[in-house]
Amino acid sequence: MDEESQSSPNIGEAEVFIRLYRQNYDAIFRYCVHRLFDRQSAEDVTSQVFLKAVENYHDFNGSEQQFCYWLFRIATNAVNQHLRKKIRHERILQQAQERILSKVSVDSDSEEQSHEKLTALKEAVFSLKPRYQTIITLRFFENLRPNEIAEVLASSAGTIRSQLARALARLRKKLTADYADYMD
Amino acid sequence: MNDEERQFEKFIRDIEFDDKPDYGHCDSLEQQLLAAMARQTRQKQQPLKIWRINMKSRTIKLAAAAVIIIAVIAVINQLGGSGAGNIYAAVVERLHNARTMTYSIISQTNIENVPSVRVSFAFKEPGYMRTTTVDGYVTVIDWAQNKGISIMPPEKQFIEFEVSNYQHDPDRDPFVVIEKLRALPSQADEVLGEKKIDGRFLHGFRVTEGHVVNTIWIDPDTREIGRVEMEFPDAPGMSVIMTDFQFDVDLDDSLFSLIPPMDYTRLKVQTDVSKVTEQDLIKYLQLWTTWTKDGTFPPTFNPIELPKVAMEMKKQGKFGQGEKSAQQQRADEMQTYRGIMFVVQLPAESNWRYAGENVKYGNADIPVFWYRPRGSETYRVIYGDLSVKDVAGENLPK
Repeated sequence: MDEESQSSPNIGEAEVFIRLYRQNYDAIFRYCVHRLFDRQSAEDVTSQVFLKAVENYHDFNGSEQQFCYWLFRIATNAVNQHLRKKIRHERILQQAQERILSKVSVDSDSEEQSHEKLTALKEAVFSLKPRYQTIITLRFFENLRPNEIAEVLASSAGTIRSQLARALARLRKKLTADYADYMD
Repeated sequence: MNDEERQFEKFIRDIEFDDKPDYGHCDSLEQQLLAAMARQTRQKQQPLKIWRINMKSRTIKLAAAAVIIIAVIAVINQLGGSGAGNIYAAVVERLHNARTMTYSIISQTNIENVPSVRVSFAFKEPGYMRTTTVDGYVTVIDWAQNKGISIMPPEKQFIEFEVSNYQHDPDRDPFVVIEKLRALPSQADEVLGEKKIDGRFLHGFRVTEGHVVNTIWIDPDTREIGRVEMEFPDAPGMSVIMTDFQFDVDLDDSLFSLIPPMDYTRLKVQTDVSKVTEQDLIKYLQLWTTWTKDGTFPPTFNPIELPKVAMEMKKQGKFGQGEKSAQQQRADEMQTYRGIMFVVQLPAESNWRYAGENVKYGNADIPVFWYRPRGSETYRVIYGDLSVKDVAGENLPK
């Protein structure tokens, strides 16, 4: 094969990667939305995640399930980096609120309640440190078990269980203070 | 799933997120990914060509082989080629999976007659901790519920606390020692070799995680941890030594009970620390100087060392205050608590330092405490006369 003229990726490798991409796009996008509470930011970060994955794909060596955990790990780092930019973080909150307010119709009581709950949830989750935000989101929105979260975060299931308990206690405290019906 | 988890799941059940994927974005990203892969392939081809060109010369081939061999050996040594890396990895796995753990923490002090303070710890998942000092003072904490009890046998008193509005900084969390241990990576940054510690020959491994430098000393025969040393470069003098490790020992739930002993009386402490300020610290510092005969500031700010140090000072007759009413004593206790809490709550990036040991109140030239408030470029420096100035970092005392 003339290497100089080859300008397209190895077809087999590209096919595999794209298949894995399509398999995991929804989960990674949803994870980013649940962490950032803003779909536009979530789309930006999702793009970063998969571009990063392409960059480092040759270093990856594992099963399809491990690839999924690997993507969640990249996504966690990308989301945390996104949130760490303080000014953008504040803008996210403001924009998210504006988008939610503009999109959510408050015609019905149930929609208004959902909107209030979402606002309370967002503030409560953002009051946690990033690691706890990650664990709560992976557990309750992506439905990963503690041992799976441990794989994503390169930690131990025991540590994840401890941190999950503490994160929930902090959420309960915050939500009980900010949302009257939390304990109902 | 426990009640806490069920409660949260019930809460989020009917919350609607705008999380439906947009397949326009998905398709557009796919094109970007294909283009990125194509670029990568082109870039990777060129070094191959250079390698092949260079390898035409036999001399260059031999030199390249030598470099590769040396690099491989360096990597093996870094991983502890004789199996040392396996010892470390095995011990870390035990740490990760232990559901209970007991150990002692030894804090070094610079206090005369009090060279070190030893406290025993017991930990049980998901978040129970019990500490015991050599004098029998016990503290039990349920970190999931943020509740605790401190039991003082000499006084037959106890304090129950629920720290409300605690400005929670993860780097100042008392559980940080446990969690940092349990989050150690499976591979050490550095293999230190062998050292004799307390009569045993131990192998050392160093791992730097964030702003903590951990040195783990392991018995290669028993694969037990002989000692863990933690150093905090941002807080010089705050090193921690942990020893006497035992894992998965049977720890009865009664050890972590928050119920006080029957014949003990409650010491009331108002624990809302939401509004502790720098003024609380200044008042506490001044208060201490009214207690000591020589008008000096506290010898330490370490909350574990302080009770022990204070007892020693009392034995040595260094306190000169007269009798106080019960009400005044309670006011003093509250001020002490608030002053120490101000410091305990400071985040790691505040880079706080205390330098008041042996400094007398009134000495305006000597700084006794400094810290950087959140979001500030300058440091707040408290001097011996308890005046405060804003000082740039480069002008801080060395």
